[in-house]
Amino acid sequence: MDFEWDMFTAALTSSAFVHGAMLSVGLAVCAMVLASIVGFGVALLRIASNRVATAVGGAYVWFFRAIPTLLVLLLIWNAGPQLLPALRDDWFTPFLAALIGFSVVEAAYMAEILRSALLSVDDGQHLAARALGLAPHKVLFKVVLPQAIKVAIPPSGNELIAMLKYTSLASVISLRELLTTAQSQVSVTFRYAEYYSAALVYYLVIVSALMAVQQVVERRYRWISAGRVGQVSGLKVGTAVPV
Amino acid sequence: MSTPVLQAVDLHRRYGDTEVLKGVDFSVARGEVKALLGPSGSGKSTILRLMALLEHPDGGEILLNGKQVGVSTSSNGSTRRLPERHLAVQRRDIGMVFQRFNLFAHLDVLRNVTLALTEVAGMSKKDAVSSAEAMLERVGMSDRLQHYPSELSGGQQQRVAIARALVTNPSVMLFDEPTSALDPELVGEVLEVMEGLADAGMTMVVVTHETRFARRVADEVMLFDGGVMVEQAPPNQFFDDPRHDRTRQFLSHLRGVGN
Amino acid sequence: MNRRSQSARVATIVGAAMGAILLSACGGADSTSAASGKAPAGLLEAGQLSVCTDPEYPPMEYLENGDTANPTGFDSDGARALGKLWDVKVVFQNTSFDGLIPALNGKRCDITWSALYVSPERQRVADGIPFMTTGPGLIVRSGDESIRSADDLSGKTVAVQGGGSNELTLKGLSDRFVAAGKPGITIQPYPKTAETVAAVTNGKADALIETDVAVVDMVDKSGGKLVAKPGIFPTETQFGVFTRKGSELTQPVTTGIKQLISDGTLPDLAKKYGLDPSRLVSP
Repeated sequence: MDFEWDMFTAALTSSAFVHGAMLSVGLAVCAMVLASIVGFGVALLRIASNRVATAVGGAYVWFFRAIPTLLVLLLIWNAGPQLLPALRDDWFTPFLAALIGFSVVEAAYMAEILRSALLSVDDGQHLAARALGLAPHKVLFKVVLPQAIKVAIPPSGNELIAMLKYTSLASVISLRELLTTAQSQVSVTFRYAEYYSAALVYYLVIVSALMAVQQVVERRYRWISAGRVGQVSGLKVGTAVPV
Repeated sequence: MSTPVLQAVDLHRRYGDTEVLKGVDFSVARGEVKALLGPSGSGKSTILRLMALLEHPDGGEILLNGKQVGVSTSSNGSTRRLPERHLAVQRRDIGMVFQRFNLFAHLDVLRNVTLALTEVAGMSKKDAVSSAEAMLERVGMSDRLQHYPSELSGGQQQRVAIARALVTNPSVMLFDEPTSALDPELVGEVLEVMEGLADAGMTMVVVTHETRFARRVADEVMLFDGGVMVEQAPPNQFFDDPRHDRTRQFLSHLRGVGN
Repeated sequence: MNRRSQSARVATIVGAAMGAILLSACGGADSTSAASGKAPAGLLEAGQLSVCTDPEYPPMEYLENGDTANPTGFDSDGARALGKLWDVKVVFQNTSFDGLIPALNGKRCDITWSALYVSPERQRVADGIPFMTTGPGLIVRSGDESIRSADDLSGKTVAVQGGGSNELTLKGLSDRFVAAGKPGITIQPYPKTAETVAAVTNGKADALIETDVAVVDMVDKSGGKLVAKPGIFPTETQFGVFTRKGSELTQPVTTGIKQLISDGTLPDLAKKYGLDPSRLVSP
């Protein structure tokens, strides 16, 4: 087998790969955080009773799910400085541009995930919170949102892991993350197996770590045994712990 | 006669094309226990929801301790529905217990009860915990403080729900069929707690099918049917010598089911 | 047909298909064609010359009117001339720039003729047949006089098409600056040349580095916004046609190019596409 192990291990430990991996992870994580916050706002707009609010929220989700992420990145990086001269300065790095692009697009997808999670919380929770006299924002943040988050964790974990791979799109605005680092090494040395295998190892390790984190988070939310959300009401009669 | 704690005047409520409440008058005085009976769809749960300010009536007024609630009155006398955040303030004086308990699934028993104290009454965590513990002792749930709702039986959950509603010291407690979703064996423990409350002088309005409880504890029993109050009488008169045929009909059905 | 024989039939078809896929994956090693007529031996498919190209690089290869099957340009027409010489059909395989050598070695084409420098790295994995001298050129925004020599690049941001020799040139230059205690070059690698142009035009990069032939074309199309800076890099490299290492085609291609230069075909093409015919060099 023609596989140069020295080249492989050198690639694995090279600063170029480490740097590329950190860029990929950093970009994915930061984008997901921003996307969740913006997406939460959009989700609230979509389930609001105000018709203007629902229209705005709907328009956001429609627009940013329609437009390809690649196009968004190219627009931000190339058209942006044309329209806003301030973006020509050095502080507007490829990383920053990619972060904005990914966050804004992913927020549309997160909005739908969060909206369905919010809607999945049993109506009675909302009712009881209001009956206690909790102010509307406290009903949302202290009662409904914590329960919605539990439902949102698995699909959000999916999105984060997918985002890690999407970061390679940012190569079109000159961001050299993990995959492009491997590609550039290959195009110089023409040793494909060694460099692509090194990239593969990095992705496996990173995704395994993310999955472990997700498990820890899910455990924290196990105040209801799996699958019992919304069944606090009557259906448990007489089946649980004897009085 | 002092002002009634809770009073409904000519309440109307419509859902789409169906008129569920067709002009209901109702009042409960301090320390009184009123029981509401009636077939499903008669509007009795709707009355409770309106009195708890969880929904707006389409007509009529609701008064709490003599003051109209749920609306703001401008200088020229016209009224406007209060926005949600103001309604929340008014709801604090009314306690509500639901048929399906609706305990907060993500909080343990203790925190279910302290939530209102810390978030609504602004109590410190320490004070909130001691108030909550006292209230949970009262309903007999002191040994399950760290349990989560999903780990409790229906009867236990409902008792915690009662403690949760009581802890903010409301003027009146509303019970919407509190035992209808429970196994027969668990009904007793909840009724016991409610009876204790009545004995202690709490003002209560209870929608229920438990006629024995109503006879024993209520000061007045009412029958609702088709969106109107059909009969209103002290328990002995209501159950033994009702004035209206509809009441007689309703009671015979209850008796037939072994109640 | 009863169910048993029907499922047996399906199983046989699936098995045969999988067998064929497996065979085609490991086989194909020595299945090139023999010489016939004017065509040499070693073509993947008899009567056909397949050419790997990245047609986004005017004036060497580009697409006119979006016709992806028929790229235009010096390289593309040169390949057609070679095909005519051998009396075979010419078919183009479009691939991304950094996939040009891998596709050749992956036997997706007979030759790669796509404005690639003959570099030591490429020579290690393929046979390069040079035909034109060239070198890197620099483009800056019109009116920007801050870069007049290679040393002026210290501390600047330069855009380049990633994964090629030009990027290595920049890196080498940057390393020399850093070793001498001067600021290095911020290199912005992009997958496509069009993006490097955008980077300079919209101010995200100070300059871009490209082969000198492409520089002329880019400046022409920039409507006066870009200008070439000559003489920054020496004209030290050559464009080459690539064949697989040790392939039977290497010699015939070399002979073919020699002939196309001497009989005037390639010089005429050079003139047609605005290139300097004196840069052509016989391999």
